Amino acid sequence: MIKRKHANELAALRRLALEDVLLASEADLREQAEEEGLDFNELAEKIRSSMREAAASVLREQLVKDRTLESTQRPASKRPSLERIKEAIREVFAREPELRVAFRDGRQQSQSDWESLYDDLVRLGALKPDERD
Amino acid sequence: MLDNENTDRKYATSSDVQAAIEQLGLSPAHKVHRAARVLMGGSEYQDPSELLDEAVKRCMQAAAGQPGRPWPLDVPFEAYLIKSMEGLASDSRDSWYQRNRVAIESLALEGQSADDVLGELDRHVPSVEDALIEVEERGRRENEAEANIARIKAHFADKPAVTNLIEGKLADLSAAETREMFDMTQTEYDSAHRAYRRGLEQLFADGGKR
Repeated sequence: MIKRKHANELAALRRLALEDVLLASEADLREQAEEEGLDFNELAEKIRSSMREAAASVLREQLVKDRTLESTQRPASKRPSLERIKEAIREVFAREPELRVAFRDGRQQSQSDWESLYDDLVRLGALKPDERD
Repeated sequence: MLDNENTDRKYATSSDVQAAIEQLGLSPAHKVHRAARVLMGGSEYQDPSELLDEAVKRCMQAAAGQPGRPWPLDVPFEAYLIKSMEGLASDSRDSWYQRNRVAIESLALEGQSADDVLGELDRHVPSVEDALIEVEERGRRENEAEANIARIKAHFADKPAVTNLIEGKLADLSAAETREMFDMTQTEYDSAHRAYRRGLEQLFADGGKR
């Protein structure tokens, strides 16, 4: 059996660098960003934005899977009127602003967009269908 | 704020993960990104954000009940992400499938995918041959690791303090033991440590490919 001597040593050398990352002060990080010609605040926001999008993509994929599964298993649930759907969605977004991240801006949406978003929010448990309907 | 409705929960929900991303400070955001730069060397990940985003996706998938890497709530988000990226990059480097995918695709007949070929290999290749392939692959990984260590040493050859740090680590010495053995002050050690990390980031900026 071949030993993993060098692979283990290389992993140790990577950890040595990681230790310094964890110890780095904000001043160190700012200095390095400046040396590399990067805007510290702008890069941090870009990193967070990319992470935010990665998280939202999983939610979107999950919704598509759930929707597909549901459409094959049970008939569409009874929905309230379009005006009530819009009102309920706006209430949920006001109550839980982070939910907006996973969805498109609510302006210029078709009726089916509103209905589909309503179904998604009900499915996520963010909105109870019998709240005021 | 994390979702505190149920404080008995051991693992993060999707809302916890999204809230943690929003709360990630400037320095922590840079740290996880720099950690990705250090870790991606030799893996399939060619960009630090690609590795970091994959860690976030695996975390969200686990939170949604899919196979993934769950975030235990008693571990800080930043530390969890770094550990997860370490695992993902390591899995990528160790993956025979990943390494051989291009070669396998070239074996595929018209209309066949790499997965079709792998499925056929699964059915027809005797286990002894599988074992030989694995041994050969492990030998190749060892050779590659040895070459990368030589590359790291060569990169810092004109920086004796960093070379001492590397030798100390390879001898499995603690930071204090390394300082004592090479007669380094704490400041010299810290400075060498920083130079080492920055140099390693540059060295593997291309994903570890020469």
